Amino acid sequence: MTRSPTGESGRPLGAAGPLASTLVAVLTAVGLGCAATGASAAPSATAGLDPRPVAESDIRGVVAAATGRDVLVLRRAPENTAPGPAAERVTRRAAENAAPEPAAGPATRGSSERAGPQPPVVDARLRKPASTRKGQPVRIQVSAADLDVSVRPTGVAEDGTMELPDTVRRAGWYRYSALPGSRVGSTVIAAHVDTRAEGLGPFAGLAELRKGDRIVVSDRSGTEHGYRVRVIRQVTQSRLPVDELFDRGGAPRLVLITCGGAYDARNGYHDNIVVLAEPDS
Amino acid sequence: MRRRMLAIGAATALALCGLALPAQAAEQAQLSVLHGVPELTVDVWVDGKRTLDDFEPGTLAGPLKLDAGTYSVAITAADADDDSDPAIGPVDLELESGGNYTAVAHLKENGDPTATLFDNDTSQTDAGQGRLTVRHVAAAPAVDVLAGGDPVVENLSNPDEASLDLDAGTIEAAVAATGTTDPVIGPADVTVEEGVLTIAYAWGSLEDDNLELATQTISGLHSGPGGVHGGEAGLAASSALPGAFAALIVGLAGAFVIRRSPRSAAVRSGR
Repeated sequence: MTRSPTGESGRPLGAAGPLASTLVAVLTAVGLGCAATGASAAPSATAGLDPRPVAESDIRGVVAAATGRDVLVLRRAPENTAPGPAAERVTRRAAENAAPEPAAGPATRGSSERAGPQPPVVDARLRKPASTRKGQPVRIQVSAADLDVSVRPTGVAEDGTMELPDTVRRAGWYRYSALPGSRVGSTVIAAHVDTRAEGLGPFAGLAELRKGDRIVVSDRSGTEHGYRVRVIRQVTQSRLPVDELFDRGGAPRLVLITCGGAYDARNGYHDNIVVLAEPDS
Repeated sequence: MRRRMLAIGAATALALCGLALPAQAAEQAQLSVLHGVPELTVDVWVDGKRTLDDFEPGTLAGPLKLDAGTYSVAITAADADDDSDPAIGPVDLELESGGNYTAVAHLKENGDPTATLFDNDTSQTDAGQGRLTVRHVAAAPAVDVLAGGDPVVENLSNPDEASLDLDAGTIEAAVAATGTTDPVIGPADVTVEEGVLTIAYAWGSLEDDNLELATQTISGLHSGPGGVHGGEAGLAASSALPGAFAALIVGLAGAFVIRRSPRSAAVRSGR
């Protein structure tokens, strides 16, 4: 039970007794997630949670192994998975539009000729997206791991992997992932476990975390967002389930990633250490 | 018993998963409507029903979720009693399953009103990138689209479009008559958000000096990064020894199997 059931050992998921019911719970959760996804025909519906066999998906196995029956459901929010200002604007505009409609409509024309409710109408003039700067994470603290490092936004490195700060003294927040405190999606923070110049860094402590340990992420406005560790797992780097870990939809959660496992000079670390945490509410 | 019920629940959920996705996501199309005819408030009729009332220039409606099929769209003056005397159309819009479309009421190059159905490219973008689509729907000759003063799209004519996948960020965009760099629209800061399709429409009329830029965004095109390489020195390689130990055990087991059965040994040696 201490190993990830979908790790490289190839042990079939659900072979062990307790795992079987867990697997069922996960399947149910995934199914619900898919059903919710199906309800939304947005392009986002096809991204991320594809209905491939669960046994191939590490993180679901990871979640199952660590949480038992109490499964952390990785599913999408049913609607409006993009929590951006545009969506809010649309909603507000829709409300504005909807309000005067009944008064103006029936007086001159029969409402029966209408094809249903008026779709949202927005001003299409070019405008800047609202700044998310205040909500960006700037610090992460995990007292159980004696970890307290600053965080800066990062993007994608030239090789297509997530860009990380060069120093172990700083972590990177994937700037396209959710802001901490966001109501949907995964907030991803990652850092080097070590560098040749600096040696071992604070993120080496992630491997020592236990379920229930508290994580605090502070944003630029000074707000502290608390999380509780749900899962810690070691995943082969090439099998890192990025679609799930970097999912923009689903329940709000914090994902911490660093490196670990076996190391060889040519290929570096073989594994990623992944910590999945839920908002502490 | 409890396990069996859970199993039934799971089977049902998976069945829903298999059925619901193709049935709903695939069969419905999404249609947005952009009004790009200056100074004309209109009503939009779909299959004879008033779908958009008092639709103003420079506004965007939708998306409407519609079953795949052909829809007849007519655009009338805002006070029309029915769609028998349309200003534009009626035009037939063919919407395919799962498609994402924008119908644009706009001016032709010669200034006559018309409607064009565009197919929005919502295919996945690489991590860190967004897509910019530019559409020429203005009463104006062919144009170049400039980013930071340099042409990135050349000789775009009404009602054509061009698409670029770009690193997320803000570009200073402008539209100029083709072969020139003197802007007729802009320069304006256009933000290309990661995983988002931003569609910029050049609309209006050059002659009437009311050329403008309209934008539409469609999110959810993103993909995750290729992985996370979070270390370089090997100092945290805690499981190196257990790993070697496991390899030793696998090796011993393999040797054992070789003696028992050469055929399964061939399979095992692939590890």
